[in-house]
Amino acid sequence: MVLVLAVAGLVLVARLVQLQAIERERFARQANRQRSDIETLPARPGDIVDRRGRLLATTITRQSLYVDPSRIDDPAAFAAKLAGALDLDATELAERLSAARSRRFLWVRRRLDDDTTDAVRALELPSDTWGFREEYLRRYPQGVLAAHVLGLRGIDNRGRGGIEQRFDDLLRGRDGRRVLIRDARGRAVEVRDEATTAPLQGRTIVLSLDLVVQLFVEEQLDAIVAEWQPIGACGIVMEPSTGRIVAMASRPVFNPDPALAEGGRQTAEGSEQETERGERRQAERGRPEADTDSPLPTAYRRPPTVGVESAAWKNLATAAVYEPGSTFKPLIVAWALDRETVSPDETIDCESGAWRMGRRLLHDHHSYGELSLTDIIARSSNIGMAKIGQRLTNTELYRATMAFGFGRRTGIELPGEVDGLVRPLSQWNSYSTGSVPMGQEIAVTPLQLVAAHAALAGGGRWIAPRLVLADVDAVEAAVSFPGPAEGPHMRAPDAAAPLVSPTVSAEAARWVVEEAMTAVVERGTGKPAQLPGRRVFGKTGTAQKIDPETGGYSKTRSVCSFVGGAPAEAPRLVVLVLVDEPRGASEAAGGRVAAAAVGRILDRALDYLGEP
Amino acid sequence: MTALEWCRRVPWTVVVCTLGLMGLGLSGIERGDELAGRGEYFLRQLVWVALAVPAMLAVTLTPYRNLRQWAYPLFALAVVALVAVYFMPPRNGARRWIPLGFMLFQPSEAAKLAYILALAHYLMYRRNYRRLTGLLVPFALTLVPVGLILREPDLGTSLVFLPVLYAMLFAVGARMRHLVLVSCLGLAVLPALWLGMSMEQRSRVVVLFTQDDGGPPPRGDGYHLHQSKRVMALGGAWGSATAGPAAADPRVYHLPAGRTDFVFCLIGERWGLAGAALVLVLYVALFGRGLMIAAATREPFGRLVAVGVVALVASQTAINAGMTVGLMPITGLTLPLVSYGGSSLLSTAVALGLLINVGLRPGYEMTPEPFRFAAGT
Repeated sequence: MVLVLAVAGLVLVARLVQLQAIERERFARQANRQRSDIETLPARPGDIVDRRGRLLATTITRQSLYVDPSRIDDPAAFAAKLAGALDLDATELAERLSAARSRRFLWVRRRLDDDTTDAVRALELPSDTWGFREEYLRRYPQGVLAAHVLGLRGIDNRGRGGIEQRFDDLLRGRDGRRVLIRDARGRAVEVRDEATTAPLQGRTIVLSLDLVVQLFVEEQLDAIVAEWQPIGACGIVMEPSTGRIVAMASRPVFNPDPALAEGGRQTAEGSEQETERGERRQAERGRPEADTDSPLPTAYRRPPTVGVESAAWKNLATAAVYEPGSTFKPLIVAWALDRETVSPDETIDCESGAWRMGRRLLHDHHSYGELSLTDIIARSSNIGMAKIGQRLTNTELYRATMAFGFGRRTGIELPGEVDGLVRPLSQWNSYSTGSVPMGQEIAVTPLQLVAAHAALAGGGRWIAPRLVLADVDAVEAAVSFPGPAEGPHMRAPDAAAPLVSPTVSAEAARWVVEEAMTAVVERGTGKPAQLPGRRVFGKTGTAQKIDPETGGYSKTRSVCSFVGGAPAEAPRLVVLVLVDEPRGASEAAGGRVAAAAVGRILDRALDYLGEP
Repeated sequence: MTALEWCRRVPWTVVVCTLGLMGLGLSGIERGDELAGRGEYFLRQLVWVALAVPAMLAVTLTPYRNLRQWAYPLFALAVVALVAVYFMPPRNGARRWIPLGFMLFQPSEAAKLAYILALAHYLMYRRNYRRLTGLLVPFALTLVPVGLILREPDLGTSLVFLPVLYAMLFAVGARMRHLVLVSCLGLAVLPALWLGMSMEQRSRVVVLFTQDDGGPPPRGDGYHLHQSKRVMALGGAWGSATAGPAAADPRVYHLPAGRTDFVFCLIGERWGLAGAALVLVLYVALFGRGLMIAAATREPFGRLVAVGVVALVASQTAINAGMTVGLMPITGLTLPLVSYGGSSLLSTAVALGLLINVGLRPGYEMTPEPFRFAAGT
């Protein structure tokens, strides 16, 4: 037994000698590798501003609270104090603290607002147990305004949707880093200057949007949603002379801001079940936004719409397609004029409202006899358009469709834009000859439609719609803001010069706008868009939707739209309002549902822009 | 026994070694508090020491032979307590403790002592252990607490029963060939034991054979052992107390369970190789003196108790010291007298009190030298 003890003792001593005398140097070398930490210096995500420099998306600095659980002696008491200031559950927090007792760092709550920060400071907890770290928080001071254009930037600092996603790399900038040497207590004692790279701050993106016009559009859409309860609606305002988008809105909508407040915590009411017409309920829920730095009238404080159904994330202006219906007619007429297939002063027999075209029986809403070219547009005669289509033939109809930019993306600076649908000419048949002139058989995005009409209003030049005026850094933005009057420093990230392509002759375009489309508003289907003192031009459209059950056109479900502009002599703005499935709207309701809204938007926007 | 007589007869080596080890333990625990940056383990251990030393001395007052009649009842009580832990709430996934309000009582600590008494009582006047079949009852007696403690689970504590059994059987003169045979049988069931071990227990064995001294800390399984060796090695020859700490970063010294199971490392770090060697020297002196007490005791119960106590403390020491330097798998065994922990300290102190008690009363009865057998009987 003594022998066993002696052997065990000797083995132990030998091992101790090996470790503590022989191997010590290796252990010590390894252990003393310099404790250097790489600290990230986060880049501040850039702002998004409208054409006059008003903030649409910005980044503020918030304090995030962390604790050192290993230095907290009494987690329960500590948690009880903190929970009061942070509005957290004390027992839950105490459990978190206890569970992390062996750790040196634990986030308690991130991105606190200023009041909470002060409340935590006022607790005067032991200074070695807690601390604040500054973190950035993305805010959208205008709430839901232009939500679809802006998109979202989550706490992972990744842009999702809209400009945030499209220009994510520009907005995000590049994080810097510095190397810290720490002492035995983990405190930073030295910064390695040679290894420090400063953060490259995110750039400011200047949009062509005008916040005020955007507000007019959003208000009109909300009114339409309240009155007609559609499944969707969108509105676009474009400058025909430059191709710039002045406003773009879509319903249903999401509110980017409360989704981010308090580190992404969603409000309880956001989890309510959503229905097909969820956005209406969102509107009724009514919790006013507590945002004081918004320049907007307090009337426009829409309720938060976090947790809305997924449809709300879709920008109908660029990501949805519809049959354009009658709004397509002026484009075809302009093309026919340009090709001299028709002349402005001829009349076409509209066959008293019913005409057999091949095997197909076409109808007008009212029976018309001989109609002038102007009246074919103003009364929106399908038969008249079919006859023009017959004269043009499929080849020319296809050319017109392509020339006005349908069937392909416009290239606007937004993710998720779709092509629309224009079938290849080889698949067109005799049916198409009658359908395409009245805006059937093709599917277009609202943006394509407004761009095509902007081409007419702009004298026949199709200009690619654009949203971004410039990207500048924050200093440039402050010193000389690149507003609509572009300065020499302007650098649009995409297409410095707008993409322009000719469509029809200026004369043809001007005639359609000033004669035919003005007549629509003055005495045709678009009367609700009339404005005192302004010559408004436009075209209504009521496209019946395909009934998924029968495969034919539905009697009850339609897409009502109105595209128009003013003043007709020299169009300053082109506005499209499109309403998807307004409830209880009868046929040919495009005028009633959408034209009045376009009229109001034009009136207020032109007033605002100083147009007499 | 008068006080003077008591002082003259007490095996002072045992007392001095015990106090020395407790002192070194306190110094290691203090270093542990310092490295961890928080905790008052040192102060609490001081209280336990203040309780344990009087307890040890109190055990020496009444003659140990009075315990003989209590040996079986105490063992039965210990078994009941071991069963009772299964009805207690688990801590860290194990049911080893009975909460008593002021402390967590660990019945397996008391069971070790009761087991030594019961086994000594059983073996005292018997001779049947000279036959192979006679070993059945001692082994059965062992398997009851071992099985219960294994299920807690507490592999380390259950393992120390076997060296105690072997040492006591050896002391009473069981035949070596029988013991070797049983050992071989035990080795044969090792694969079955391996299959019965949890993944965690297996990994502790595996890392023993995949050590890389002085490399970077491994992620996962080998981390604890690596840190243990590193903390030990950084002490060097004379320790951080004289030569200053070898590394500036406190994370280098991160040592889970440092003040309890791995206190040997902290002593090695604070006092270096010298301090670690001193711990071993004190232990060897303690055990040597303990064995001398056993040899000098003619009364069979006392001799067996002395052997059992020495075997118990020695095997715990060997397993614990071995695991901290990577010679043994890591188990939850404390270093007797040195590690932080009330149950362990008290039970070891009481065991050593028994040893002193035996040393005080070597037995002057006219008894023949016990356990002497002529060849072949």
